[in-house]
Amino acid sequence: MLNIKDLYASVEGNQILKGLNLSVKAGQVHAIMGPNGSGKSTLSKVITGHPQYVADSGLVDFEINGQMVNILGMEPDQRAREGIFLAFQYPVELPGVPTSEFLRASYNSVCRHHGLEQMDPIDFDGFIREKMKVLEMDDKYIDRAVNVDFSGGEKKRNEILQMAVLNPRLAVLDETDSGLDVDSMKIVAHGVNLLRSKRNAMIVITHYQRLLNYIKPDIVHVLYQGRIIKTGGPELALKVEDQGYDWLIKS
Amino acid sequence: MTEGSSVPQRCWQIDSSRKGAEIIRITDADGKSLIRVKPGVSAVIISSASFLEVILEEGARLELLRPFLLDQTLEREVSLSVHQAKDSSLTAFMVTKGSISFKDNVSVVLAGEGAEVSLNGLHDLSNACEAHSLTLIDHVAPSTKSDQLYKSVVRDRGHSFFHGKIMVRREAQLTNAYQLNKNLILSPEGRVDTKPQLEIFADDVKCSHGAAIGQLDDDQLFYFQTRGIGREEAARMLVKGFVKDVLLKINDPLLRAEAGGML
Repeated sequence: MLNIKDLYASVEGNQILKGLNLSVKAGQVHAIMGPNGSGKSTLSKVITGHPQYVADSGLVDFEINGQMVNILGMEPDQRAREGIFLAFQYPVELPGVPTSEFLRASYNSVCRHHGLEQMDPIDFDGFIREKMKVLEMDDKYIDRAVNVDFSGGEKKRNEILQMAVLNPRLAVLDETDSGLDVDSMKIVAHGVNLLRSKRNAMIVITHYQRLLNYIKPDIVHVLYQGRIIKTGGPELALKVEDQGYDWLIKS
Repeated sequence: MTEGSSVPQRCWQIDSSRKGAEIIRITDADGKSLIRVKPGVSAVIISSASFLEVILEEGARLELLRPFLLDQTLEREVSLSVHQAKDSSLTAFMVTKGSISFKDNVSVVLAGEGAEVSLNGLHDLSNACEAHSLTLIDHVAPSTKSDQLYKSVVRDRGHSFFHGKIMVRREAQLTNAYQLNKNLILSPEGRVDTKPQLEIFADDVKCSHGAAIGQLDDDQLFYFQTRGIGREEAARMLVKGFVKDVLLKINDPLLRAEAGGML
């Protein structure tokens, strides 16, 4: 579904990714771990198309209508409509834009692209309230401006709510566990696990093994200095938790 | 209300015989109009009269919308001058949208103790439109209150000027005055000039002012885009969000819908 080949990418002239390779198949959950500054967030921004993160060379191929297509030239909104989603490490506040309107605009623009029926405000309200229940979010957030006056934990739940609304084929979760207490993390992980299926895939970027107790990965990668230096099963995350990264960096 | 000013062409007396709930429309575009709201009476008025004078008698309350759709070819100059007696209250909204130059001169005299004014402006400027908003709030009596919120959305080569002056006279102790001007520039050629001015002669007052000029934020646009919403629709939603708090100051739902519908 996703095939990244020899990717070099920069932000503000600094090369962060230096020859990264990653292949993700439908149905898989990949975890990406790595010390600060290793390029984890950069990878998430390049996959989703942030304008300040420039791919210098390499390919990011994503399956669209059965074909592998290099998406590096596509706008972020085109990529999103094709099924790529980013749960932000730091969700952005949108003053004056009600959460319900934002979510509906998002949902409908994806439906429009795929020639599916759009939802009116009343139907959408019922649809969204169901999703919020799963994430144990208070109804009051529906009418509030997106992420404005949300606590850190509520912002992260709101990211997963948006993911549930769009049901993406490829979700990139960028440090979704940061700023969450254990109870909130369990709720968020439960919401994410409900969205796992054979047709979609996830890339879970995290600093800590903790989250991976709740969102169980199939494959774990360690990213260091812009390249994946080790790939393994869930046991790799446990070893990193136990021994840190030094043994990987030295070898 | 200065002496020697010429007599208004049309006078509108709002007294208790009017139903409070109905919106009164005063549409004479040219010349001078005078609205006098009698003691204790509440009214909701829409008026695009060019030169409007308003007198609020004791305890009178008025919610006023001044809509100006600038689709003509001529430049336009309008004014609003208000005189408020004791415990009267005015909430006024200047809403303009268009592509020709425009000048609005607003002056409010808070002449009676406890008088309150909320003065709000929304300008949506395109092409080479210049919009000048000049406001003067004159706190004459004690315990008076003023609150100003002016916002501009500047497109193309639009140019927004805001010059807001707050005067607090020596007798006007316990004055509470607040002014905020915020601008959103959507094009590289758009311009904004903003100039607050406070003249305070009383010593026990609360006055503050602020101004901000911004552009659409790249991170906000990217956030929209990752949700499948294109940059144009994102910009529309952000602009709508930017002007929202001004519209929310309008209490009357019909009036709010009319103002919102213009933008």
